[in-house]
Amino acid sequence: MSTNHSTKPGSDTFMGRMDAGRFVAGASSIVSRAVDILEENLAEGIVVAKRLERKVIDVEQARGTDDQAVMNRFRKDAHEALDIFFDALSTATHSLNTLVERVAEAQPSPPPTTAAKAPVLSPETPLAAGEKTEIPLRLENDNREREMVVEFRSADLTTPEGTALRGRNIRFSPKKLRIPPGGRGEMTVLVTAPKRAAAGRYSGFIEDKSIAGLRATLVVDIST
Amino acid sequence: MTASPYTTLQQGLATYQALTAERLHAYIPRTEPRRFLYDLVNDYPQRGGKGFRPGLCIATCQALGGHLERVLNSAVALELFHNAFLVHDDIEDESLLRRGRPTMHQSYGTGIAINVGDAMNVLSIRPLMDNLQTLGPNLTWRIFTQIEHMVRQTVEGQALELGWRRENSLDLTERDYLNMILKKTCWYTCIHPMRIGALIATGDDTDLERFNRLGYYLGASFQIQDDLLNLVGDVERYGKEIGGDLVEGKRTLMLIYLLRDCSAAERKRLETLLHPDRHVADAELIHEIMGLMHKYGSIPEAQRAARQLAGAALNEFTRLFAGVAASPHRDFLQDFVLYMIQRNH
Repeated sequence: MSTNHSTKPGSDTFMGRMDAGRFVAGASSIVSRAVDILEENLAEGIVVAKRLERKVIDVEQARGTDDQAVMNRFRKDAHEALDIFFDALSTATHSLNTLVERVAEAQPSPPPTTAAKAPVLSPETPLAAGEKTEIPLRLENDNREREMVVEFRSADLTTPEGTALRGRNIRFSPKKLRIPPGGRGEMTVLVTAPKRAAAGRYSGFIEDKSIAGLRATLVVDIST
Repeated sequence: MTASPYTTLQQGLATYQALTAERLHAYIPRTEPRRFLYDLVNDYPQRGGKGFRPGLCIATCQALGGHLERVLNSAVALELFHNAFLVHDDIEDESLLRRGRPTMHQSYGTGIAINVGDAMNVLSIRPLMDNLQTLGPNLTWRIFTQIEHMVRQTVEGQALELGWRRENSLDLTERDYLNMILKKTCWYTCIHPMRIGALIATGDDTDLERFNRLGYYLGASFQIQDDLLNLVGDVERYGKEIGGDLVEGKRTLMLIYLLRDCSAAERKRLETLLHPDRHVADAELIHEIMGLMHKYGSIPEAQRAARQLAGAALNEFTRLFAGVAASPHRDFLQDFVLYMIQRNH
């Protein structure tokens, strides 16, 4: 059944009376800032979701045959990570028909063990201010015909309180990585904690300059 | 009489809201205690709010080919959550008026108002549970996850804002404000209603992210304009006390711009005026802060920001809905975006 409007909203739309181009030309600073904040909030959500995911369920196992495809990709944002969690929950409780039964069936299981499979990148230990660390990153080109050229850049990482770790402190080696069709490649993420960096958990996106959706969340703990 | 330029939008909202209200009414128990609980649950919804959230949810679902019956329960849940937030917000903000009438805690006392808000939160769960019959377990569960995220973000945003007021924070930036309203307003006013509508229409949540920016721009523009109307609006059309946000010490974008631009002495005075334990008459406080805002152009700057965000929303809408077949529901969404650009009440 669909709604039968007695009147048709929009039948005399405002669009016809306005110059849309007037409003859409050029991104203003507040709009750019809003985009950054949205991305950061989503990235923060990935971290939370990932923690939850690790605590509650083994996603790789629950996803069965699709695990490689799923886990070798970077997840786009918080909701996708949440969805994977709930998808996993759904898979684990597939035979049950009610929500109550679903929740009851979710069993804790060991966390994923290999760092390469994590969509969230993080150094193994917290960094002290002034220290540097390296995070290995393995990438796979699932296109069987074309070479993939990866060139990452990093946004500023921020703490929940808004303290920023500038993107210039995140570098990649090699700067540009060419991966043959169907092949694999490795890259290293080099993180420097500035000498005067405040302690906290910093998170943000790293993403490829030209491949849409190829991105990961980088989480760096800086201790005092 | 000249017809309002927003007539078509208003008609659309009224249609969606009537459908939601009818279903919502069916979810209010007819049992005791009525006088100080169930009769009051319908108080705020009956006051004729704009109905943005159910409207966005239903319109998005139907614009994308979904059926009304499948989305209605979720729209009811959104409306109940929203009204629960309002009842509690009014207490937290010590507001006097809501939609032109005394707030619930003003009329019935804080204890009863808190309990009614709690009841609305609880009652909103039932229509979501009833989705099981129409949508099946998978979709029902996914909608629950959307709602869980929405509610959590909203209370986090509210906590940020209340914390700023409690600590009389002055060193806030535009960025802090945008972060706060993303959490407090945008997820639950725009982003999740559209996401839920799309989820029900398509049964697939892989592409819900496309609504994030549109919803954020829309919600942010809405919130900034709502704050502006609290300063320069008409009380009868706006439905709340003018200048109330200043009295409450609410950190609006205009106030943040003013704190950024004013002199050290003026900033010191603002610190006193905004302090939760100040001893300054409300009228004097409003007069002084408004004078400073006019001096530094804080209001037009915020107006520009709201229009830029609304413009960005229009850009997103045009991009997202270019391939969606024409329908009254699609037109409603388009008018909704354009309303944000021209809103004055």
